Amino acid sequence: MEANLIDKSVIETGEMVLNMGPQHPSTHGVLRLKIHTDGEVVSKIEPIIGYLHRCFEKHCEKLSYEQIVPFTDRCDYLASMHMDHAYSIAVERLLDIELPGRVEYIRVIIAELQRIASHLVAVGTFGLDVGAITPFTWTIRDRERVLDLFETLCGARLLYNYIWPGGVSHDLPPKFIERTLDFLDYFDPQIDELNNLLTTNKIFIERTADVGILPPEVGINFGVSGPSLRGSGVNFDLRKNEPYSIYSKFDFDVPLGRGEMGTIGDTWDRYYVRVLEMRESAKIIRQACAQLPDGDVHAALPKKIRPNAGEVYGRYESARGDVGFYIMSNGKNIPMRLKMRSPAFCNLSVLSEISEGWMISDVIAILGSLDIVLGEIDR
Amino acid sequence: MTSIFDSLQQSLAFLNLDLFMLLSLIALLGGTVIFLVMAVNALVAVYFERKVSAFMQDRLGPMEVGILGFKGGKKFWGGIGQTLADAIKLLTKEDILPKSSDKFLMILAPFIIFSGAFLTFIGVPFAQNIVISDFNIGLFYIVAMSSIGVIGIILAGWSSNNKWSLYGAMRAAAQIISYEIPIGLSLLLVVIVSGSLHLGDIVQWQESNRWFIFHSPFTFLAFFIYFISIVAETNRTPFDIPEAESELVAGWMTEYSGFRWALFFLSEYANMLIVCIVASIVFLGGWLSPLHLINIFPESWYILDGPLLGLFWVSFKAVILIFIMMWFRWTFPRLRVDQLMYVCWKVFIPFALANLFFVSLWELIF
Amino acid sequence: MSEYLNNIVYGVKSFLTGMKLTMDHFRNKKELVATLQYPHEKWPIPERNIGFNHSEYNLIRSRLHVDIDDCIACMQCERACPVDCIKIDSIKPPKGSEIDCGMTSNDTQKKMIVSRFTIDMSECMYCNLCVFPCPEDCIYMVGGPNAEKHEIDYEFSQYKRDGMIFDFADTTDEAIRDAGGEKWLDQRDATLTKHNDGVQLKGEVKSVKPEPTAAPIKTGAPISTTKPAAQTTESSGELEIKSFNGISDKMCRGIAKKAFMAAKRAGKDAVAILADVAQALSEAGKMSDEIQSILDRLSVSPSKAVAPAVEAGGDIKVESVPDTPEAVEMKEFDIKDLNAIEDKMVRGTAKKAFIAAKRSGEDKVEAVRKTLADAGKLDAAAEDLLNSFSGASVELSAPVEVATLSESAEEAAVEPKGDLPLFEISDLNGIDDKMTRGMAKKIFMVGKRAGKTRTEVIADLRLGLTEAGKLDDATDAILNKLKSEN
Repeated sequence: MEANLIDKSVIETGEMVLNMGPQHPSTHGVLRLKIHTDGEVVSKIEPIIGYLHRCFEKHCEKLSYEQIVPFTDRCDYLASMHMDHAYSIAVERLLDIELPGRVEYIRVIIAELQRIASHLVAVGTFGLDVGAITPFTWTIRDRERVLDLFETLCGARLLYNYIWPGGVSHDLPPKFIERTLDFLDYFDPQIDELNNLLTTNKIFIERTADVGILPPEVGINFGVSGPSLRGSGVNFDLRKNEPYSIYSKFDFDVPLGRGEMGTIGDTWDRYYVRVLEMRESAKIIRQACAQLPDGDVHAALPKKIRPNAGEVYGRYESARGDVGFYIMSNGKNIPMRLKMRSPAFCNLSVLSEISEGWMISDVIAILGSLDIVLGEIDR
Repeated sequence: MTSIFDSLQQSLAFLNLDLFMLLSLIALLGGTVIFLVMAVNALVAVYFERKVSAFMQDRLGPMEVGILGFKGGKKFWGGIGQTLADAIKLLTKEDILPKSSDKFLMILAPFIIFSGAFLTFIGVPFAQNIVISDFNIGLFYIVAMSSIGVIGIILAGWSSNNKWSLYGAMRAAAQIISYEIPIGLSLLLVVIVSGSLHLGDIVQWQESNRWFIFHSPFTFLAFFIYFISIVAETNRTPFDIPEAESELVAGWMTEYSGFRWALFFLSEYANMLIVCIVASIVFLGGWLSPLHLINIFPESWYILDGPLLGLFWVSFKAVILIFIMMWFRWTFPRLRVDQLMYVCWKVFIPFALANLFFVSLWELIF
Repeated sequence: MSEYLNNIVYGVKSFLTGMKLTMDHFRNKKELVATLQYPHEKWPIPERNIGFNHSEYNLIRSRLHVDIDDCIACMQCERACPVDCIKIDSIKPPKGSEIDCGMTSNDTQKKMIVSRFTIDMSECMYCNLCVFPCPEDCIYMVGGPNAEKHEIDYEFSQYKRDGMIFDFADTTDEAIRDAGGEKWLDQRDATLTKHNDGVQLKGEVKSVKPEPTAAPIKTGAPISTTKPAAQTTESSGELEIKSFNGISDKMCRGIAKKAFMAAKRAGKDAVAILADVAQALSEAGKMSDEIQSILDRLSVSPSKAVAPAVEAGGDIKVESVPDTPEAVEMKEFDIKDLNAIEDKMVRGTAKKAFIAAKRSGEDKVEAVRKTLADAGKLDAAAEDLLNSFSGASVELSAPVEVATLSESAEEAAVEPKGDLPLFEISDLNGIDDKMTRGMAKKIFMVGKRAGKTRTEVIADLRLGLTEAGKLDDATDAILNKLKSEN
């Protein structure tokens, strides 16, 4: 009887391959995801990258050490200062330069402001991914303030070329410290507002808590780093574990995911770690501003960067995670080989692992919580 | 009670046309009125929505385009010509039909959706006697007609031959059909109490008793179930999963552009207006002035009634409801598709059923 | 069950908190709106005075500006640029010359002339790296081209990409030539010509049927170009001094080259140059078959001027080539002459084309004619007017134009067998009336392009002129003479 009702040979019940991107509103750039779905449920994801590939590493083999800085800017364009800083630290280690105290303090202030700016985008766009549009405009409004500060600092708003190997390009402009402190005073209540509007919203919690759980072992195995790993409760922050620059002088906490709304390591935790990190960054900036010494920021700037033959690896805790610059020098003024470890690349690799079995809407939330920047992944 | 249809029939009687001609003429006039209402509504509502969203997000919204050199306010209410300019842009835009789409269905779909909204307007009273045709079963007619649109949505999603559109259409179908149940149940409750499906009678009942929202705790709850369900029915945030822009690009509208897309837009905002007018008529006293609630000088509120003021009260209430829908949209994130179903089947429907039961008891007791 | 209800209560609570927040923002929009209405309001300029110390340098990164008076062409900025968007050319005056390159504001004696300093802002990535190494502080970031020197111009947009290339060098061609930059100028002009040809797709025609032997000659405009320097290179096209290297005898080669240079300096076109060379050689009694064949090959490009000579089988009759440029009364083509055009629209178009041609240094008449024809506005009156000016230039460019046409080679091969070779356009100069002359020349060109023979062309001329009612006795006589000639 029932055999005649439906001719089952005609009906396809296999999985459907859905192409998300490279032109899609929620892939944070030009990422393409090949999603194998059964109805709405995702069975497998293949991220396809390379749409923004610019041969950064190959370029570096033709550019002098100074000229590479603008290109590192363009890797992680949401946290350019971090990239500059990471690269400069590596080159300085290669050159064996001792930096003036003022430079180090300026760099820390700028880097933490940049972390706030970058996390504001991450948090805002994450809201956008789950459908809340208003928090995004609010966070972007606050990010504007940081960018204004940077503009007075070095004239650029996105790609700064400010932190150079051996120093910074300009000293702080007058009243910069006051303005920074003003901004921090303004910024604290904004985080509360964001929490009220988004973080504690029931729909938001339903959408993110218990979704896309990243177990700590899996995270470590995949090389996930930064807030995405700390969301899983792994206490790993290069600023604490392997302090570079002068981070050992400051008192700050490393926020970890605690599974307040669901399981440890879920999407909500990764999101909330970033919100908390903004507060910690504010704490660091306040301390650094209070201790800022005088001095010449160009004192240690080398006239010509020509390191001895050798190799060096510099690690840095950027807004996305553990950035590494591996530089091989053969004694010329251009590096023989430069390799960059991209944290967002490693973070993205875990996407398929943690989003299997979730729905398409969840994949977007999980992707948003990993906070990838395609400029850095593709380089 | 008379309707526009009846009054036109009487006033055009002098033309001595045969019945068919007369009916065609009246249909033409009525249709023009509805179309104008829909178009003006979309123009105003889009502008309103853009401004509301802008102010909630610390922005200014459209500020540059004016009408005939008049730009509107300088700082906050500028750009009043923006939606008109957008409409002109949409109508003159290139119309794209994807190569591998089902062209016939793809062209047909917007018209089905549009006619769904269009037909619903026939039974929607804007004030006492200001209704195209006055049905005995007006409420039933509106509920029935407003669900025609879902056919068009499925057709649009299917014929586009785009996976995103298909997802959007499937989500929309599931959502709209599910949410019709709580809507129907909460309207049923009103019908039980007032004993009529005729919208005029329902308002009359509220005039002689109380507004339904304040009639009993259960009708109060029913209003909220109805209101949240109509937010879902009109595919607005937090229930906008069929066209979730961060997930499905634009859902079932992904492949549409130009005029056809404008039709979707028009019917979407028309649906919004319809459900809000129905909510205000059924639960909020329709064309009765709010002074009925206070009732200090029993006779004084009569001066605030009448066809024109009635029109004002209905639209006032509807606009407030529309504003609340916009307010929702710019505050909340979006639900996931299974959570949406959860809310419908596990929260609203049990509550609505319980409501129905308790209201019947309430009516038995009081 | 209690969890179920708790969930609902918590949900409703959080919704109300959120809605209260957005409502607050909606109501307090006066304080909270953060938008800057860009074209009406502008960003506050970051404070810090402009100066060139690091501490007071104004950090606007909008557009690179160069104080060219201060530039010493040290190339530091060019080297610092990671994307190579700065291009500097400089010319060092020869030793002992009296040229003063000027002083910078830092009182440094400049030792070079900056002949080119271009910055392609469409390539610039605003990294500021070029600013720091400059020893004279003359390159820095400022506002755009329309702004006051130190104002910010947020938008320096252009309609074409070329517009983003800003040239800062202000040295005149004379100054460059004085400093011994002749070669540089030649190179520049060659590049410019090549570029223009590329823009007008002239290369397309050539590449269809390449003529390996023929030296392609460009339709240079010997008359009325604004760039005297460019003239020499343009008019002789690719007929280069190297072309004579094929001559084996040293003496002959020397004489040929000398004659070539002399003719070239005199501004003659390729045909005239060859004629001069041939004359010089025959005067010196060095004319051999070998040389003749080389010259022939150079001139094969069926310029009719030397065609008779070729036909005559080694007997050189180059003297018969009319030395046209001086013969024709040359009237300077001025923009005011275009006022004779009645139709306003046509006049406007013509003037526009005239000015464009003047700037780019092409032949104005031809440019105007072409523009009008493209616009479909070339009526008889305008045509006549243009012809009245184009007399001289057509004569010169006629053989040359033919040279670039691909069918001309076949034509040259076919022609001698049958009818007499086609006469020269300058032969029509005998016609007195300007209008008639113009018309005749037009018909001639049409016939020539179509590869018609002498008799056919003359018949065409007769027909055309009769139709226009311009065939008077004198003209008729000329035509008859042409027919019976040779």
